[in-house]
Amino acid sequence: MSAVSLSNEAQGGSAQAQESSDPGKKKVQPRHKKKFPTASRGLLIGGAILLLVSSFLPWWGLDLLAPQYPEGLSIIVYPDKLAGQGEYDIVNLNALNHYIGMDKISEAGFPELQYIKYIIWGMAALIVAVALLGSRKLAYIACALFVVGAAVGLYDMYHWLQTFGSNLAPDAPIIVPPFVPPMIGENHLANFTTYSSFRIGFFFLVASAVFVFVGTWGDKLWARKRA
Amino acid sequence: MKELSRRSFIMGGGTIAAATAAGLAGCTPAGTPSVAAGDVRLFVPPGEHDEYYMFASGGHSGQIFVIGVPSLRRIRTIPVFSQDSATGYGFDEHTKAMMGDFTWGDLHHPSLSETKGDYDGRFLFANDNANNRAAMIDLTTFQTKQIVGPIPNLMGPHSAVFVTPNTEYFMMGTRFSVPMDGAYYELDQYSAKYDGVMQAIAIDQATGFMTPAWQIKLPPWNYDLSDAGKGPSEGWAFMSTYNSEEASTLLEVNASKNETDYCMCINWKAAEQAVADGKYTEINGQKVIDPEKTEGVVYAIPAAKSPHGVDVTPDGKYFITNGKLAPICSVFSFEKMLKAIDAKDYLETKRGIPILNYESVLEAEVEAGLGPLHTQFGLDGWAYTTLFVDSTVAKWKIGEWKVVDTVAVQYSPGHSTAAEGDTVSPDGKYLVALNKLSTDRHLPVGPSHPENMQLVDLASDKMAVINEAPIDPEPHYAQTIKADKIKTIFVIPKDPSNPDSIWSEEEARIERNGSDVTVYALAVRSRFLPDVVQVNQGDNVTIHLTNIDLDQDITHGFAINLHNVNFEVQPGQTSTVKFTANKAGVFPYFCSNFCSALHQEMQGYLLVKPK
Ligand SMILES: [Cu+2]
Repeated sequence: MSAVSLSNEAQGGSAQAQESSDPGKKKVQPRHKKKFPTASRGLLIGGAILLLVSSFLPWWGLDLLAPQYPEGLSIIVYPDKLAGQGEYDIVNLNALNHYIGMDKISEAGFPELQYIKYIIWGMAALIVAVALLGSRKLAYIACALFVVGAAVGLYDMYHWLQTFGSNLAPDAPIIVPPFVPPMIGENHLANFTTYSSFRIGFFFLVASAVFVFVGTWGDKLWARKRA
Repeated sequence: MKELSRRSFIMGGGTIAAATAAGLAGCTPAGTPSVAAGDVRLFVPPGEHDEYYMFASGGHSGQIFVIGVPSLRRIRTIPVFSQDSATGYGFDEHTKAMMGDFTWGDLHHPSLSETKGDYDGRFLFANDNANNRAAMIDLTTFQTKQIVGPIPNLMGPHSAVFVTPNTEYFMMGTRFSVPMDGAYYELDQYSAKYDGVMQAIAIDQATGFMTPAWQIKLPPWNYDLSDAGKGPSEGWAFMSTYNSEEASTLLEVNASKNETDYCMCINWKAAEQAVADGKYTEINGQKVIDPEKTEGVVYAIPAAKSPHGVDVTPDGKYFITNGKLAPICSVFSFEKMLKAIDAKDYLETKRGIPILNYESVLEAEVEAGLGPLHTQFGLDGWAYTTLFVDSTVAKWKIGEWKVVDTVAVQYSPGHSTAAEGDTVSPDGKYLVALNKLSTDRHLPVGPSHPENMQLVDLASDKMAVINEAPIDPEPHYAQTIKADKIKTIFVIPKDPSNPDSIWSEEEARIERNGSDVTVYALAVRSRFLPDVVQVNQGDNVTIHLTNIDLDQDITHGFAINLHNVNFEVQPGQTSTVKFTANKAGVFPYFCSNFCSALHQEMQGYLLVKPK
């Protein structure tokens, strides 16, 4: 199966291809063990760009609607900041939340906002490096980082939702049972209905992951198909 | 992340009930047979907005009423010259200082700022007929921002104020004549020593702030209403006058003798130039132009008889005096006026003022009916004149000069306001008759009844009253502006340079300097910080209060029991109050403006330790 691909014209950097085609010098390598073909490198670069773009976009958001807030209040999470739909949404959310004894939500309260952006940029740089060097080993590391990052990120979000919903001051004017706002979907509390969802930046992240994964393993699949 | 807000539940219910009532009342105005059942032209469903804002003067209430058209719902009352405990206007230090020595004013004529003769929705100006002042309201917040005056040398600036077409000036003429420099002369010296005045107030285009610019000394006649020229007549102003008899007692009789009084024609650009050229005398610090010394500024045309309104047509070609005691509107041609001036076609010259020949300047006389007071304009050259005595509104066309339709209104309309009806581009559609008497139109409330506003449909061939609503005393004039021209803000912007403001709970504090105690306080749903203020009897107390709830409609009040202190802080606003803690004892303070579910808990204690 790997031998077949050998007969294909050299795609990924001709020097190596020529070298490996010399049976006297080196053992012939299977095609997928070799450096990435152009298409894979393109996908990796695309993945890096998507990742970079996602660092400027909102990843997650919570919209709150109540009878007296027909236009709603929002808290929108970017990798490096919190924002609202309106200028003062978070100020107002905190004003309301203090009635149930919730901690103040502020950028300072989320240290990860200080560095997530740089991690993303570092990841993007790593992926670009993978594409340029064509190193599979590095590509596997990038993919692994994606998986770990996703797991840690989702856990982090759950942790915060759980922390804010559960650590309610016991002397709050209005006592509500502890709760965990869902990461996605609708929730009801008193006069508010909340809708939480992933936002555009998250989908850029997902797309980036797809590009990087396909960039890493795609040539194998193509090779298999051809075989 | 929720709030159980009682306020919103209560407010919401109230709003809907009020809206429904207005809607129903609108659908079936009692006793107005001209209204078709189920007429939906005026119906604004609950939750929807009116198409127009109408700004009606509140007369001696000293306020401006903001009314939605076509629903005629009163949306807001803006205190201008009078104290208002509902907003704390005239109670906090800033507004108290603005009001000066007066607790009331007689607000007659609101005037919206204009660009190229069209309303631009930036500012609203108004006059105080009682105390010789002018006020400016910022239409981003609907708050009074400035009051100037009393301005020296003038008395009773009633004469319908107007702004020039690009809001260069806000002008007002005097109803009463008094000795201009404030000197004392007995009434037998009336003709010799008493003066009328036309006041020009310059407007800062960025802020709307007013500065008295110059005055024109006028004969001791009573100046009633006025309007600015536009288009071809831009640079001129027209002002009606009565009491050319120069009566000083029993004016009812003595000022109604002459068959004609005057329409004053004032070249304000020439006046501006005269001031620039130094052709003025200074009286009490005011630059005064005297037509006896400076030619080319003031002219007059005889006009029948004790005219009330003078109105410039949207194209600026004609100006119309409304006869009041004569059943006609005299339509003057601006072009003919210029020709008569060029030809020196004068009947005579009075006190330096050339009196133009009526026949030479007249374009037409419209037989409007009894008691014509004021004319507004619609689309396609339609004009609408209120007839106080007939109790009707008459419709006629510029160029045809004949009444083609009248509609009865209840009762005795003074002014009226058509949608953008005194601009260069009226909208037609609606006219609101501001009726002085409501008599039997509403549920009786004792011997005195409210005034009555009636909405007249202008879109159909035949005018019809399609809505009405009572209103407190007393709209004299009103202007109606397309709602989308006004851009309000929802939070007062933070001013980091204001040393009186605090924006966090940590900054809340009490500072003492001898017997002066300064409290830097904040209000936030649903608490005051600090909520205990302890002072010694006799201390001078200053409280700066900032509302750090930056959420629309979350306004807090601040009232202290037994201290005659009550004011509001709108979202983001800082207000200050000062008082001397003369009474020893314990005095709660509380939020007086319903703000939140725990509004009732929003309180603190002022502890005044006895000497
Ligand atoms: Cu309050």
